[in-house]
Amino acid sequence: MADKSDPRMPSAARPYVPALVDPNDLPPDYSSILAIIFGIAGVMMRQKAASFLSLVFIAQALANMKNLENDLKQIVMALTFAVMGLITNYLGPGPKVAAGST
Amino acid sequence: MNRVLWTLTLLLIMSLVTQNLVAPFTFVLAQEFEGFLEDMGDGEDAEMESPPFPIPVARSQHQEPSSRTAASTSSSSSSSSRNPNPDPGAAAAAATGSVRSGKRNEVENRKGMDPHEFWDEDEFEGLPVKLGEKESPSSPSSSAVQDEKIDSKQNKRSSKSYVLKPPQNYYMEGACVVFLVIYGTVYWLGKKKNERIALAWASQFVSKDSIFEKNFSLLGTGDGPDDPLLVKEGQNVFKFYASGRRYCEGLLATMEFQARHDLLSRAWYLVSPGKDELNIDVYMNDENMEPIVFALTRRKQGKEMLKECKDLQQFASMLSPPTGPRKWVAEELVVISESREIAVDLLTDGLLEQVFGKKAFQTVAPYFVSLHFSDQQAVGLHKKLLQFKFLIPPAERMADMARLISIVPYFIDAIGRYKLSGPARTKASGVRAKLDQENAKELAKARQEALQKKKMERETQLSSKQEEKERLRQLKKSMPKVKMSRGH
Repeated sequence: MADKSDPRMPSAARPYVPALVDPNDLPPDYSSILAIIFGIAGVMMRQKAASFLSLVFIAQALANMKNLENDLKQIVMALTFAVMGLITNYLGPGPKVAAGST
Repeated sequence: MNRVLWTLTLLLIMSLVTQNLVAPFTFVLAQEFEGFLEDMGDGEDAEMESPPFPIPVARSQHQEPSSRTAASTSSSSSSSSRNPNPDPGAAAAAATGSVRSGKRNEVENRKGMDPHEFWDEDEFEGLPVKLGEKESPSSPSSSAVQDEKIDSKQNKRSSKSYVLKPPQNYYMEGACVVFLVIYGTVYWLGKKKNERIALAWASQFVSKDSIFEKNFSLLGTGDGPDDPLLVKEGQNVFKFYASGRRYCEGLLATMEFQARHDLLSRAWYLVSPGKDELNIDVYMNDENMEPIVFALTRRKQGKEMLKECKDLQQFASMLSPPTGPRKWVAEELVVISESREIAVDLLTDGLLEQVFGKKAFQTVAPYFVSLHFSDQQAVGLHKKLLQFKFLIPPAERMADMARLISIVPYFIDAIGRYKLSGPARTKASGVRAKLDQENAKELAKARQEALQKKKMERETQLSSKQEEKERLRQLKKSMPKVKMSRGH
């Protein structure tokens, strides 16, 4: 405040270098993990609710995505499970048959 | 962590809701099964009243003989007439206990049969009528009905998966689709709002003739003049970089807004409100910063900072406000500093009057979080770091934090020019040298240990190989000896 001279020094300017972040140091992405868990549960236990819940968490994971490459893998995996669960639940052989066979 | 908690609670609620959705279906099916049982006739209703297990029935049958024998002894004439034994001698003996035993046998034979078969209305007098009546409908059908009941229970269990399917309603599907649509809209709106605040901040402080433009020659991450000033990392994190100023290498401002784009997080904010944070890190030139560790924050946060920040823990301590007429920071603030000298020199009267003094602080209080200056930052490449933490006001009132932003270049100059007094500097550098020595010792120790470990591993490998060789050699050596001994 006391110094009136121009503080700018173009010679000292350094371009921005984004800080390198180790992917292992990042906090775990809970929403995509939950999405995968529910997706698998939906397929395994033939629970529509689990598949839909998985979809909700996929939406959250997509919304909070920061690193495109890293997160997209998990999201795509969760999405496959969720869609698979929905297909088996609605289009696949009915659970009636499954109940009869067991 | 907050987000995790919230998702878990949501999960719980969802599971409860789905259970409630499933429950009525099972109930409906149980009804169907009962309807199926109605074919059995009237026995069903009686079965509903009678206890599910035959034990009480059996007990009543056991009670029956005793009452009957009592009756038989009282009216011995009728019992003797019913007695299958026609021999009068035996009839005489009926007065004693032999008839009782005979009767008991008969009753026990009855157990498996229909009690009606042997029931004579005239036979016994003074017997409670209800007992027989109550018993009669339950005992014949009870076992059959119970079998049926068990069957139906098993059916219920096995058909649980069957239960889920047939009554098709699409409440859950509809709810999910609606939720996803709402999620999408909230995402869009929240994203726009965060961008609006970030742009408002940039236009207030980074645009032409603004404070950052006057202080830094390079603004934004690119080289060209048209390059964007802000970098977006995720939907709620924006970064602004500036460089080209005396005393410092660069400045990185990170704006972390509330996750307005995420509906689940927003719902969580209803429980614990979120904040829009602005963290400004200034990387100082190594030669322009004295050994200083200093922090200024709120009282409550001061304790946390002392716990969390290693440099504060090692070098600094909380300062008590000075006694006497000297001006000091507002009461809710606390100064953590390596020495009182640093604190007094950095918190000049002008600064106290304009920002951190008792009166002045009220205007910036809602947006101030902490200052943390240190030459011993353990994180990242830069060791000498000035960290400012503020809260970002709403887009319309961005000018409210102008005074706080203006202290950033002020402190860059203040720290850059600041020279410690002789004794303070020797003390500070002494402490650092000591710590460096300790660190170096620890490092050397760790290195040595690692080396030793490697050596040990190699040795054990070698020794195991050598041992093997040795053993073979020994065997070879011992062989001829044995032979020699045999030769003798």
